[in-house]
Amino acid sequence: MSKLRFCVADGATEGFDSRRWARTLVKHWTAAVLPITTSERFEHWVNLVGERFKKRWEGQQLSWYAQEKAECGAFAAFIGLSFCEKQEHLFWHAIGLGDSCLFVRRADQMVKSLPIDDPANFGNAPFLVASNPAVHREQACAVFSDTVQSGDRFLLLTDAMAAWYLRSFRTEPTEALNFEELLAKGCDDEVRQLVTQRRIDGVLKNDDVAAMLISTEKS
Amino acid sequence: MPYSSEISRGNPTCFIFLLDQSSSMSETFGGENPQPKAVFVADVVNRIIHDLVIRCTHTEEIRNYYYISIVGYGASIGPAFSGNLSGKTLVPVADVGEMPARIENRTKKMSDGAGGLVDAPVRFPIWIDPIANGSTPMCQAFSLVGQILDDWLSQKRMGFPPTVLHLTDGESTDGDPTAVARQILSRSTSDGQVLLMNCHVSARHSTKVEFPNDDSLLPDDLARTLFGISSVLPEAFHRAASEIGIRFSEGTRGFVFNGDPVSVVQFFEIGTRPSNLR
Repeated sequence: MSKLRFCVADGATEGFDSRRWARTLVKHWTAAVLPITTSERFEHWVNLVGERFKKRWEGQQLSWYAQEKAECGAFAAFIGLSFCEKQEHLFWHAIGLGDSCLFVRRADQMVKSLPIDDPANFGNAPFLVASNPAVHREQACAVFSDTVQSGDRFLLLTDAMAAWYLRSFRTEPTEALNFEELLAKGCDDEVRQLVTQRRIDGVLKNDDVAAMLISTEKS
Repeated sequence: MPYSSEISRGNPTCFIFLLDQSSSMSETFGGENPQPKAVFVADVVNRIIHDLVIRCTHTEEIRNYYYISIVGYGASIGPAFSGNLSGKTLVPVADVGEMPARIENRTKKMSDGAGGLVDAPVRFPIWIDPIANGSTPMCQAFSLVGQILDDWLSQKRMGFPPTVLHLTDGESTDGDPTAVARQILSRSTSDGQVLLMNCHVSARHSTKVEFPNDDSLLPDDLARTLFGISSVLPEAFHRAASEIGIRFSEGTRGFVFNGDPVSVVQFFEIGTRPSNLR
């Protein structure tokens, strides 16, 4: 149970090697000995992983433009979810920076939306997890924890899908709930069709998408 | 909705820098800046092109979201790229990034991490060198820009329309440019009409007018002529303006009159940063 961790990282195209940076964050966050769910620990951990990431490119002959991008480093949105048991209760802990989101759903309610809780706030150049500590600005991670109730659902979504899902949940809940059901049943083809159709409809931004649903069973 | 097309490799846009290289560009802006206008403008355009290249760079690849043209007019009229790109009219940004005329080593002030500033070495690619010679054949220059646009638009009918960024320090010496400039403005893609922005620079900074909504504050006929051939800037440029503290409204024109060095930097920064990049 102590290693029951889930996360999504979405590399920003404007960074240098951001795809690999996103993968690095996912790999190391889930593999850490202790869960990284406090701001202090997250900041320390990002610095360590960033230093290691930077070494990949050090000393290599790069073109002037690649060199410049490499010096700025990579950027990624990150949202992580960890579960732990304490005194026979199950708790969830989440930490996020950027526009990849966690949605905690209970029955027909949205219990928590993290770090963005308003669809209007997507697309506003969010602070992201930077691989270069020198370009870290005042970045405040969103951190939250609560008890898990039987039947709770946890969705981790990248920005385009998170914006669409949150908007749908508020204005057309059956659309959002149908999406959840498709994820819950593992209907990957239907999810792909839905994404394609909503892009055509112009309600889902044409961007990379990743979605993960964690369901807890009703006892 | 016009000017909403996403700029991507499949739907690139183009930027045309149209630069006055007449002899008066060898004079300074006045005030504290001792550099000739031509030197300052070349530096700004080189930095802006650098930024365009960096914006299109993904790890080690430059993606062709933009095509770039530099046209100079003065003693001669034509493409103004230096070095390997010399003579080219419209160049994909990947080739621009690969082929600067040279890369100079310069210094820039950077934080030393302890509250002070230190000089740090930077590589500064050069694509255009300063030129200041001859008269101001603005009509012929606009005419050449029209031909470049025709070539582009014959192949790219769908994307975000081209943006022409024109900088001058004086009056046209080959006639009233209104008619030929309006022909430029009448060209379009499916996403909207070509955008023409005009920046006039001079040493008369006290009567500077930046991004006006109407011509009521303009001091003379030259200003009104340039205002009349400047596009109303669509919302795609408003965010770039607000990020540097300039507030645009619905009728704001891409026009500066009696601009100083700061105006030149802001003019090119705003004009090359539509928010539609994917």
